[in-house]
Amino acid sequence: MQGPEPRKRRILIVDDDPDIARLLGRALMADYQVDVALNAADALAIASKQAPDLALLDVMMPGVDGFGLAERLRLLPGLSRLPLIFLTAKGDARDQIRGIQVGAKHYITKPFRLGDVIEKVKKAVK
Amino acid sequence: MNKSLLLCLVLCAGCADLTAPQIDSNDRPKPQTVKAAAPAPTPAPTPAPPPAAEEKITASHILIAYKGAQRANPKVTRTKEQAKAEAEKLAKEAAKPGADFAELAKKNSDGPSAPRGGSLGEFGKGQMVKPFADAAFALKPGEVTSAPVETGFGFHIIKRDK
Repeated sequence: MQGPEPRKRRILIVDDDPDIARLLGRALMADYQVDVALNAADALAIASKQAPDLALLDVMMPGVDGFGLAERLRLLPGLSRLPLIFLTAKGDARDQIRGIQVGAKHYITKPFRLGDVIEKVKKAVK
Repeated sequence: MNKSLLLCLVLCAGCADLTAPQIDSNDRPKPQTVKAAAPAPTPAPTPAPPPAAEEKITASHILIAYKGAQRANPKVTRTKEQAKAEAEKLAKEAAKPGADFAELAKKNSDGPSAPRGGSLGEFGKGQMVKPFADAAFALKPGEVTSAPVETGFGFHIIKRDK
């Protein structure tokens, strides 16, 4: 009898643009367990129930932005080392520095190549 | 009832008893009737009880990180002892009547929430690392922790907003 399949890694995608969230979700769902949230509050509710192995966060969101959400996600029990990838339309160098300072694995600017995102996700959850 | 009829009934009953073990030993699926005689209890899907409304609070914090703390900004060079001393000083300052906590956070916090005055928004007790949650939930709205709270990220001065 074969053993159980290895657990699929869980990716949390947070983007207030439903089209982008859906696009990323579809691209990653074959290889990962994907959770999608359109705002920080939903993302926190999801992550506190099912700990993600990686979060893919949009920076510019109404209310709590991606950086603020990153801080809150990391303060969740057991998620202090959660790998993060920021995804944003902002190409501002200061934002990129801020992203790296909060410990992001990658900082991807929109428009992005889907293959590029998938590759970075793969590397980050290894 | 005559004797022969009774004998026939007893024999038939005996046959019926023997069939079930025979089927089992042949490893054939049990006939439906055998199962029906002692149906396995199949629990009806019961809807999960609605979760108890978790108490939520709103809080802000000032994080004083140190070199070597989790996710510390590479620019942070202070030692753990220095961070603790600085956090203790800030805790006293923040507790003063009329102190502007948000302004203190903007100027001093190493957390990504600094530009928002340290605001972390609303959270339940289970949505925060334990030392932080314990300290924040022990506060009354408007109160500031009397001493800094230590987590892997450094020392936090916490204010409960709501």
